[in-house]
Amino acid sequence: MEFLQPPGWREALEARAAHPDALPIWGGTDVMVELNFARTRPAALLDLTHVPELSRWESEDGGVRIGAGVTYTRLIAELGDRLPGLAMASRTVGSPQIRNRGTIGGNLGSSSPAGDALPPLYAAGASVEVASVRGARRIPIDEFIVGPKRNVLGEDELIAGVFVPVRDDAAQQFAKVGTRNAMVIAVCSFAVDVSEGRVGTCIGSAGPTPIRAREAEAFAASAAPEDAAAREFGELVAAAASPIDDVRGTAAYRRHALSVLARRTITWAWETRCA
Amino acid sequence: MKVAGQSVPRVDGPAKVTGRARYALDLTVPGMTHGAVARSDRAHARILSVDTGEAEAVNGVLEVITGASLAPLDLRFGHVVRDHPALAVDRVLYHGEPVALVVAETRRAAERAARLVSVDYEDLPAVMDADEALGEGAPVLHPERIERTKDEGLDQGGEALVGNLCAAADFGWGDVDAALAAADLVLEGEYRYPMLYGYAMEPYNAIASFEEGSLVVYSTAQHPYMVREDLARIFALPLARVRVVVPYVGGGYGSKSYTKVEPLAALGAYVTGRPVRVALSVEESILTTRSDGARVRARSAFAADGTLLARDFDVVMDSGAYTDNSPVVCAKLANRCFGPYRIGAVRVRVRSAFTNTVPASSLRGFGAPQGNLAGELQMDDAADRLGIDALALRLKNVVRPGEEILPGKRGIDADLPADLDLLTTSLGWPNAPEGRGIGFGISASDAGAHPTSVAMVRLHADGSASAAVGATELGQGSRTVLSQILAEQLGLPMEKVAIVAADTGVTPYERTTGASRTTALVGRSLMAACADAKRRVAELAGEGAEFADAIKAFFGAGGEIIGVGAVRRHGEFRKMPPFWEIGCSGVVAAVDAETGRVRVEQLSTVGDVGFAINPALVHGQDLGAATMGLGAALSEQLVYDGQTLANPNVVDYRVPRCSDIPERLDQILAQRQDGIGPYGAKGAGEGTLNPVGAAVAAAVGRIVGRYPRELPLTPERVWRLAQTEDARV
Ligand SMILES: Cc1cc2nc3c(=O)[nH]c(=O)nc-3n(C[C@H](O)[C@H](O)[C@H](O)COP(=O)(O)OP(=O)(O)OC[C@H]3O[C@@H](n4cnc5c(N)ncnc54)[C@H](O)[C@@H]3O)c2cc1C
Repeated sequence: MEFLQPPGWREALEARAAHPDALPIWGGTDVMVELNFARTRPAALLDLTHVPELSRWESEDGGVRIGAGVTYTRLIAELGDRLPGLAMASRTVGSPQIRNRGTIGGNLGSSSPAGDALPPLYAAGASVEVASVRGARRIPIDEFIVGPKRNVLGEDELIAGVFVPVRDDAAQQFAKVGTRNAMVIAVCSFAVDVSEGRVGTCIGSAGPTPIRAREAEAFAASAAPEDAAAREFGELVAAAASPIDDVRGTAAYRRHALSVLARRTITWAWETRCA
Repeated sequence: MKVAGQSVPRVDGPAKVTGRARYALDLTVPGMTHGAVARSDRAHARILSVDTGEAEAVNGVLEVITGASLAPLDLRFGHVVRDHPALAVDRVLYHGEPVALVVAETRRAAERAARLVSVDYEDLPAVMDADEALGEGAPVLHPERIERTKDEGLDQGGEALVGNLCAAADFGWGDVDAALAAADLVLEGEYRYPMLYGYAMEPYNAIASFEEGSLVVYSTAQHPYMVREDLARIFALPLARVRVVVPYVGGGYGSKSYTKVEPLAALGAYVTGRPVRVALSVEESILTTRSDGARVRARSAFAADGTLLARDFDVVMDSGAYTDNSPVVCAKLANRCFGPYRIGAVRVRVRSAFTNTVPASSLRGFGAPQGNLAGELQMDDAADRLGIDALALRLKNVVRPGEEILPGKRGIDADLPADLDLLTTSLGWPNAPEGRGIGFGISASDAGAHPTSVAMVRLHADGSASAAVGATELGQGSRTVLSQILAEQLGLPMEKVAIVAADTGVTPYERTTGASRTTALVGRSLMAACADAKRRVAELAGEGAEFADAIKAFFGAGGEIIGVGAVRRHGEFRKMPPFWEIGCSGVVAAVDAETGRVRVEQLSTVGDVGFAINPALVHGQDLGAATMGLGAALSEQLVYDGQTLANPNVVDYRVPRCSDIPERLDQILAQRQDGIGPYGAKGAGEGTLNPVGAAVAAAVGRIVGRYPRELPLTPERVWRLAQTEDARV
């Protein structure tokens, strides 16, 4: 297996263009599992850890642009105040070792419906910045991920980062049941992002991709913050999910758990905004 | 006592924390080659042919060995029934079974070649469920039954072994049916305990070589002397010419009891004439051994005043494809399921079934947790229904010190009412904090296994002493405790003693390092060896002489004095078991009733160890064992999805992590010096695990209003339980 280690962004994009069959790797917390279990055998690895541009984040008009190589540990420590939902989700990822190594770009690259960074990004309406030697483009996250572990990244493209809108007084929440890496435990997660006149949501682990519960969003954006509305919101979120029965658990349970997570998180978000 | 009873630092601590301690996996021997295993991708199939051509062509490959290529060697091992071939010969009985061993100059070449071994199979009907396996018309895994080995320590009762019945135990006393008919309350329920993987940090590995007519094996075996017997038989060697050496072992928990990869490494060495290492990954280790899952039907009969009148247990164990240690687990499950209670009538029937799954063998607790779940939950349920406090109900029925729970066996060498009292005080029973549930339970395990242990003590000319013992160091601290006993007996400081252990070519015989026996039994053989050595000193130089002086006087220059000691099933060790290992644990738990998530907030354990020779080590064992119990209670379970495991790796099979450990830990020691071991010690290491499953289930049951009957308590199961309308058990 060839090992490519470009020293900068330009070189990384050139390497990617020259080796479309090379598998990008940052923290390796997904890639190494795949390699160790012999699920993939790429011709080459494209190590991005030496690309300084990728591990930066900066404020931009209306939000924050986070480089693909920013780890969960840093998201928690450095962006917890601006993006509390993302920080909450990051705290639930794996163990300290995984959080030190795993990155937001890797989570996007894997495009797993169970990726924990994804629901807060969907709920905030983030867009993924991808680039190639041909140039860069920003794609709304729900157009970037198109199926279980499938995204629209071109074969010469890399993920540069993600742009996350930051709205005044936004209240964000994230909750999940079960642990991702436990086969017998049904998992689902939910993120909500509430600001003036806008409610963003996202369901994790209960369908082929993370899912925004649009009807629930529209309902909550105009509902009065009361228990009954929270309950109704929960039902609408559950209805938007498309879980399946598998050895991890039944669809009925996941739908129920989602309604509970949605009801609780919207309640907390409303409370934060009222406080 | 100077050294015994102190939490002296581990003798292997510095080497382990600095990474210098050597495990089998750290060793290399000159000329060593590497073996990799090709495994079956069928659950049950006839092997029509194995094509090794492509594998042999890989650069660096020395040999591709198949079961058929080794005839007339008989590849089967097994200490109870020799039915487990190191490599499948004509049939595979489970997905993951070894079918070929590739030996190559590098591990990478061996692994690459192993993937290229191609097997032509004819599929046979498979049976994946234990109850189905025992039913009419199920495909039979072992149509030709092999006789049991003759070994007094492994004697079995029970029904004739036909069909897929791997082992059975069946006994009882009193008139159970009459008691059930006359009782004021009869509880009946079916409980399920999951099949588990005994996760240890170091996966199975071994290096084997033939040197000057002897087979030398370095391995991770817990019981090197048992492995020695299997190897001697396969290669027709005398025991004297098989040397099994076990350096530090990275965790055993029973999962490394008995033979695993040693025959594979030895076969590789036999065929190639080179030393061969076989080192499995964790994923392959999961395909090597697991624990027996169990379906337990239990009935308990009570009088209105709470008297436990009768118990009736019918258990089916899922024991997988080969016999391994399941017959012993079966016998122990039978002995342990009804609990340490005074019961007028008992009927127990346990059947262990072959299925086309990974073979099951020992695991910490050894049958006890499977039965305890049902037994203890019925105590809790009965207490509710009779309007009696669950502690009072147990105190009413639990046996008193010295009382028998199995006719003819050793009476209970513990004070269970006192233990229960310590435990429930710690838990604050019956006053659970707001929204919380308390659960607790008790168990008694006939521990110690067959009491055969031999030790040797050497007194050196400079006044120091060493001992040779066969016990392995699995992380449990055996070398430290045995050092303490040696130092205590000879009146030496810790710095002047050393233990040499677990090398069948050098150290004396030790039956097993299992059944929580080392401190009690090896400790006693070591004491006997010390006494023997001291007797020789007195003979040579008179009573009270310093041994260094005696050596000098006798030899003039150099020399040493050797003492030997043994424990055997004789005298005070005649009655079985050598000691009872008590389990007495409880939890305080919270449940998120809406999502079903369980959080254990407090864990309390009572280590009724008689005497803690090293209290810190007992704490470590008590916490470690109870934590494994929490794993089974909350998240661990090997799940079959059709004919393959759905979670054969430790990413999907979830063992507890630091963040799962309860915030409050209360570890209590009960030291009444009532054991057979040194200074009144008994064993530790398994007991605290055994009641944990039932305790967590009881705590959850008290919160949601209904007792669970199946572990692990995943959020979905707990949520369903909270939804169920039907009445309690
Ligand atoms: C024990 C364990 C526990 C875990 N627990 C969790 C959990 O709780 N929640 C969770 O969401 N995840 C979890 N994960 C998965 C993993 O940690 C995350 O998905 C993490 O975000 C991956 O980041 P990484 O940098 O390690 O990615 P890598 O493994 O390096 O890459 C992941 C994927 O992204 C691609 N990729 C990476 N960077 C780029 C780029 N710049 N451009 C294009 N493609 C790219 C890679 O090619 C690969 O396909 C766990 C993993 C392990 C091993």
